[in-house]
Amino acid sequence: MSSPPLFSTSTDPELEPPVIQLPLAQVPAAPPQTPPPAQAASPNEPLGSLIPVPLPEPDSDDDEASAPPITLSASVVLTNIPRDSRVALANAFMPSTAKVTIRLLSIGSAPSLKKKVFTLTASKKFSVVVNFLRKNLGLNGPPPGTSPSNSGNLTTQPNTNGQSLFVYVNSTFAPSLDEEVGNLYKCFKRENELVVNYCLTPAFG
Amino acid sequence: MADAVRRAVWDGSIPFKVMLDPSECRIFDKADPYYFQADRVAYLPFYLPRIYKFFEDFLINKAVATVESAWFEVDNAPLRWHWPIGLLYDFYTALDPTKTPPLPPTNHDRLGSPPLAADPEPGAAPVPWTITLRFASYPHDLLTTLTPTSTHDAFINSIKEADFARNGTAKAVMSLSPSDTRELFASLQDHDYDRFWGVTDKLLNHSGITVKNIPIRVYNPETGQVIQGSVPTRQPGTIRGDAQTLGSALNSLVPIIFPSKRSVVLARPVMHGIVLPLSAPLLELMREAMYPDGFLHITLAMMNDDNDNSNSFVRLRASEGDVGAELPLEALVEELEWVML
Repeated sequence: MSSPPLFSTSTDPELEPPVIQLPLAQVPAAPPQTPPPAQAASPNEPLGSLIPVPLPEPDSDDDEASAPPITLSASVVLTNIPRDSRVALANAFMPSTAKVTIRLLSIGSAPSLKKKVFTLTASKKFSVVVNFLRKNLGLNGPPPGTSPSNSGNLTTQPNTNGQSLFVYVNSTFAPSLDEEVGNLYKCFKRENELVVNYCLTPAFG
Repeated sequence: MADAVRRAVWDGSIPFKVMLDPSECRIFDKADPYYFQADRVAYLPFYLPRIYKFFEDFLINKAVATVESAWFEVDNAPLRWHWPIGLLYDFYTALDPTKTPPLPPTNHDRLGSPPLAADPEPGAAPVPWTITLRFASYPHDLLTTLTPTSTHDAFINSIKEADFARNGTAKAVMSLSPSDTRELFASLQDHDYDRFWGVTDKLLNHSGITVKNIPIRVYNPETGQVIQGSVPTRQPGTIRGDAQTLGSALNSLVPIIFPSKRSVVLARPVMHGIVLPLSAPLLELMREAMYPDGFLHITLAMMNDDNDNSNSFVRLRASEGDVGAELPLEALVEELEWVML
């Protein structure tokens, strides 16, 4: 239906498929290797092969996989914008590779971790923290395979045999699992740490 | 009327058309669409039961396609349960409201541009907004699981987060009586303006607390990324402590897109389906026009270079055969400041 030039970004030698998946975010980043975003296109495939990203480890690319797909209407509108604003957009919203420091504190009967302070790439979702906690506290319910339980997974419900875990920021609110830790850090840090509290029963109203 | 803006925000609505995913439908010719009018400040799960009921008889296997496994999709993008409907619409359509009134088809006949194919008119508001009801392959990596309490929990936690951002403590929310706390969500579900604002006014005017920051989220429709900020009510660094405007807030949060505090250059800020003036005082904007969850959810409508006759420097440059594109951005921003001031 649409002729390719409509969707070309002109800074980008390879033509992307019409559903634009983070092409801008990659403009300033160096090498245009064949990137993983294609994964997001098939959400029905359980991403079983991806290893969950533990907090202290360097980033994997599953961030792109968990970035929400963009609607065609959004991308069509934006194909017309001048190049300057494309560059501006790319720079302003470039996924931050900076690391933020997170302190994980237990509440009540929840076991504490031996190591409490971690760093995590700012662009990661809060679900990475929750899943890290679940894994390290041995709360992962369903055996691997029955339900996807990757780092990008936004499912909190332990479903079958898993135990509940409640995770808060600053002992106050439970952020949505798709909030970026960088945003939380920026808005709610205390002494340059994002304080995350967790417990096995609901706390704080 | 003192609360005219609040009223207008509360009363905003969007017509929807729901299609059943053909693979779920036992009738070859697919089921009839379901039309409904949704409140912008509400959440999709509020409407799910009646939508499900409508399609129930069309489903191939009701035992598998349950309410619990339902989700909505627009152009392959799953619609988040915990975003207000108005935000979903503004974000996924990426509309520029200054251009949404039905455009004459000749609009895109600018010089040198190829005639547009069968594409829908870019910039035309999709009304009703067509979304697809699906059941199979729930996108667990993109959508939170919908449970009977998840919408309530997400909403209340967002209110707490906003309260914490505003005051540095969530004392105001925590000191609400249990019945008031219940009322926050119940009144939203019932779409009862007086009950909702009766409680929320207590949050915004909690005794002994003056609002310090304004919670704001800026959404980039192209990459799906979100920038969140807690913007001080007064502009830091100004001698008299000037009140924060939307322009100064956006300038501090995303300076590259908003190089000027007074004029839009690259993008227009959109909320509740309208373009917000950069001169709007941010504190008042929050008090009068925030979403019920306590946030200003602002999407960006990138400015096109066609039929936009404001005197943006970028567009002047762009029309001079791409000269502007070769300039380093910093230089451009500096020049922009000159033009703006």
